Amino acid sequence: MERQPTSEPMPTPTTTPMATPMVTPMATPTTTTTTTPVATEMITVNLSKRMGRKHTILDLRGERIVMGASGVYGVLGANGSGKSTWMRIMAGAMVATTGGVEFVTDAVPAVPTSSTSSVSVGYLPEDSFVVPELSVLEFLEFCAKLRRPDHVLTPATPATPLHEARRVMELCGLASYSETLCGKLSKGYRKRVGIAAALLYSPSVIILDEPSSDVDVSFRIFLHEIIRLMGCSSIVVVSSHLLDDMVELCDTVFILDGGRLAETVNLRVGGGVSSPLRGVQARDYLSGVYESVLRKSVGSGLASMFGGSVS
Amino acid sequence: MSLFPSLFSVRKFLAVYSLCIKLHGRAYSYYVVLALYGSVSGVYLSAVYFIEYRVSLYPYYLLAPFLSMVAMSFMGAGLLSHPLSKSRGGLMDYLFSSNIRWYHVIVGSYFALVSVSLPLVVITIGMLFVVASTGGVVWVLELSSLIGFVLVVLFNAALIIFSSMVVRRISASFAFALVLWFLLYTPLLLTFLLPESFLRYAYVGSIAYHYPPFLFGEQTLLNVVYFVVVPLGILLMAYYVAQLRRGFMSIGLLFVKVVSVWVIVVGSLLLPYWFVVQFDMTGRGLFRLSEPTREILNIAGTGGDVGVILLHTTPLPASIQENYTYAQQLLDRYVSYADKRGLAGSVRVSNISISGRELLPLIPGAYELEPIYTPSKGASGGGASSDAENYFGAIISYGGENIVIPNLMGKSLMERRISGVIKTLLGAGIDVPTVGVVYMGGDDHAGDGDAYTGDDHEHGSEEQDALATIWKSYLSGDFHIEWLSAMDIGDSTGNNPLFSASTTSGTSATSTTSATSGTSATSGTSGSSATSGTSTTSATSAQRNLAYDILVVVVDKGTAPSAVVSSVATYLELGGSVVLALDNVQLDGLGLSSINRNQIQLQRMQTGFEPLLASMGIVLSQGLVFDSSSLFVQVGDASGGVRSVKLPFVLNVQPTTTTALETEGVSRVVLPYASAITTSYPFGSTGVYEPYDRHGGGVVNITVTPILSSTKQSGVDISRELAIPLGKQYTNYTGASALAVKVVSAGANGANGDATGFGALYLVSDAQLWGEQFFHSADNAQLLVSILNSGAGRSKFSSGDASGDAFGGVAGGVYISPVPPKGRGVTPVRPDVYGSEGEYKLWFVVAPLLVVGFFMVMGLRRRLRRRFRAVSLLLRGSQGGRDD
Repeated sequence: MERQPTSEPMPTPTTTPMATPMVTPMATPTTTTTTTPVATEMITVNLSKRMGRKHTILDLRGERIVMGASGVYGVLGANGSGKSTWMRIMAGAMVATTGGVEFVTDAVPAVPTSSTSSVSVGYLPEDSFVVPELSVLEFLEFCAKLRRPDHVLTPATPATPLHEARRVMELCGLASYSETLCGKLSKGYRKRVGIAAALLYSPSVIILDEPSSDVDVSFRIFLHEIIRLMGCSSIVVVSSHLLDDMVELCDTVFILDGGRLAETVNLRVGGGVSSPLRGVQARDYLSGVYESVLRKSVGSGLASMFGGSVS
Repeated sequence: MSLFPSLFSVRKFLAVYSLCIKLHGRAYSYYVVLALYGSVSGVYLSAVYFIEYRVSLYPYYLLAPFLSMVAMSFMGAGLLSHPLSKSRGGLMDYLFSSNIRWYHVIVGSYFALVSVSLPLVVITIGMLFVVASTGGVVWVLELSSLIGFVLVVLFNAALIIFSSMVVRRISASFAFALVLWFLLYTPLLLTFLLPESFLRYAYVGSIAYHYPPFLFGEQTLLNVVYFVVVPLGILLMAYYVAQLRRGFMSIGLLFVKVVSVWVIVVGSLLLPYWFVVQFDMTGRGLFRLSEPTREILNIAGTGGDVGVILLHTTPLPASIQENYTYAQQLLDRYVSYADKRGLAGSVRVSNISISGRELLPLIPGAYELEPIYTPSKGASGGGASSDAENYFGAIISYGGENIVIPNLMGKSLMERRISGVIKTLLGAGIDVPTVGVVYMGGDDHAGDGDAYTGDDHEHGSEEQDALATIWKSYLSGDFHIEWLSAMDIGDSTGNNPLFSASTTSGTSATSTTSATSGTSATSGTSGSSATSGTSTTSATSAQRNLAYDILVVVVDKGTAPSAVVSSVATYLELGGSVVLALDNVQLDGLGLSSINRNQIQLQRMQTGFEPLLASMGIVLSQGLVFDSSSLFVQVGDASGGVRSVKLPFVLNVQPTTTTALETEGVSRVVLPYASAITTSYPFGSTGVYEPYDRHGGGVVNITVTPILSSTKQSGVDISRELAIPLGKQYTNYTGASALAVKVVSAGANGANGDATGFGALYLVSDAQLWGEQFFHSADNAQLLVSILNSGAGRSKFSSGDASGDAFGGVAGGVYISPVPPKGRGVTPVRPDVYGSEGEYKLWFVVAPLLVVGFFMVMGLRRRLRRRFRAVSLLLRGSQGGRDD
């Protein structure tokens, strides 16, 4: 089933018919620590997640959503729209009821794989996941042990977990807190530790669920810089409530509503112009689309409540 | 999806493992739990000591699984449920995004929990060393117990992981784990829900079924497999539940997988259940059949099925009381063992009462047994008295022989015991024996201490008939009982029924009685003399009354008059067979109650026979010897808890290199009992007192031969096949003594042409105080002897006549001597077990404190270090990023 773009003007859709999978090998990634096969594309196919028998919290059946390499993708939606579920599924933390996520890697031959074990995926969960009893360094070292690429997949010996933990600590400005217990950190710093954990071993796919929540302005700026930087070499997926984040970070924004993909907005080639949208223009455009989606959703909700149409 | 998880990366498992270890190690509560565990253990052992006056790890090992379960549940209840909770949901998401799978999490958590629980084992070992400092520890058994305990810890960990996965809330997970543990420990909690037939199978699957054998040194493949396979199954269930909770599995698939897993688990258990493999760690070959038993099995097994009837005394060891099927399983294993080796032919265990087995003789009808009764005094009717106290027992016909299963609850113990001795003395060779009975005391517990005058115990004809019924069952034939009064026996006027033409003066107040045989044992004359005091009177014309094949003298309470003693001595010297049933202990007026049993007083009674016995080199212990351990624990049972009638399994007839004249070729039975009967000659010797000169009146050759002898040799007790493993502290329990006294006097008995007689000393303790378990043990001894007599290849014990070298029988009297409580003014029998009192008292106080202190310091050290670190950070001014 092919999905048609719902808003005009629609840029070149990243949602494509399922019949023609895009398998595009890419060059060797720019990671410095590992040579694990890099995901060049992440394809969400026919995805859905149902809790219980009736309650479907994510319904992307019929969609084939391709996220190419070197881009920052946003997932925008109201509460309960299925953002985190989708992020979890993409990260491998949850199994979809139908469909799945395929990764196209630069390995030869380039065959899509549904296993996250063959590609490195960095993930920042929505909920805090730091272990309060561990120090920052210990926690990141623990995460690095989990994330360390398998030797069988890496011709080059990857950095030791301790070294890698120190590297991301430096990257995220946590060096001075290496011995501080995570439980003693502020919310913002815990989030910072989480982001550092997501960046371990420079994954080719980075999934950040609400990275901007609970962080101060200075770290948000810093965070945006990192995301943009990682977006140059990795597939970065960011979910957020904040339009500003989406506008500043993302090339493409997927707007979810009620578990369904309501709109796909390409901010770089959107708005009917060939040049990327920037600043207020992009914000207005995204805001307009998002508002229309929300109005439509609220309207249908009210209509179902009152038995008539709501304009 | 496969049934079992695929092989996983060790690295990821180790990451989870180390994380969990760190989490535990940094929890202050962890050290508190360890400290509490140590202190509770110490306090418990102290309590055991103060209650039982001894130190034993056995009850501690029964408590330890529960203690460890509580401690481990406290430590690990939230191990998985906590990360699964809302507040830490992100951690699980992160883990799964890292290609961590549930089996990494579960296995890592499991081994982490096991690792952090190892200090519990270390504390237990510490307790072992504390107890070892008091002596009496059998290390092999302790090692076996420790192995069992470690396996239980592994089991507990799996259970906690499972409950932690099922229940989210930590407190609920804690409670759920404990409830689940209790249900798995023993299905008795389900007694009201499950039918009895199912309960038995449930019991086979319980911890209580598989754990106690370790404490007895029994390592079976079944038990080991149980503690490996079942936790594995539980962990797999946890894995499946986790998958279900994360949405990786449907309920239907979960059900199928759980069923499949348990089918495999049960299948894995069935294999070692059917094919028994045992590792004996008792150090005594407890679970190996002895050579004599195999011999008996070979003999018995060739003739067809051998029915085995299992009885045991009422107070079984606690662990066995709780385990209905333990004894049966033990027998089953014996049978399996014997079958496998072609030793047993078609031996089958049958007719075993699982529940209410101790009531078997009480409700004979239920078992198609023939009841026998002894009427109470004055009761009318002899055969069907409904007086339960006088219900003697039941008769089982087996192999053409009537076997009495005594009513262990009744009070007609004396008769039963005596009848057993009579049988052993007479054997089966006399068709119509006549038993003369002098009964002084009996049930007349007047406690007045009066000397018996001969009419203290008048038995009416009904009672005589009843006793005849009882004894006939032992003697497998008709016989006569002739009641003799003590007054008649003590008669010195020529009317003594034991011997005729006596000229014994009988005026001496002393009990020194002598029998002389003239000048030579080979003179061939029939002259004997009985002297008393200084007035030596010739008894050359005395002739033993041949009307009695055996004389039974019962002195139940009080002191026998010296005239009776003198007459008995003379009768013995004239070649008569005498059974002395003596009770040298009297209970004080308070009686026995559960309240004052610690304060109860026993008084030693002079039976009157002491000088006579001493003249034969037989010493009745002057000290009252109590065994406090039998009060509360199992010594009564440990020394013969499971009884068997005609059951070769429970007998270990050990041949020894020392064989006496009478016991040549006869295996010696050694009982693990303490005894108050000792001999004044070296153990193991024939014990010939020759010449024996009493008062210078002549020389009598007296041979005193211990048949059932005392020993401390650990390898010769019967415990291995008593089916009740002895407690660890009883390994070197002093053996019992029963003495066969052979009196050789030259030409004493003209009628028989030989002066050889046979006497048996049967010392009883009828104090009734420590329950009946002592007597049960005595019964055991009788059973042993009776089986010795009547068992295959034992026909040597045939006759009690004095016609030649025929052996009259073996006396099975056993005195179970209670061991005095430590520090109660009586010399302990087993100093090697008890050790120094003050020493271990101190240990039990200090050891828990040390344990508590150590872990407290460990916990405080970390806390202080953190404080110090915080101070140093403040001094450095590094406060950024911290919550203010």
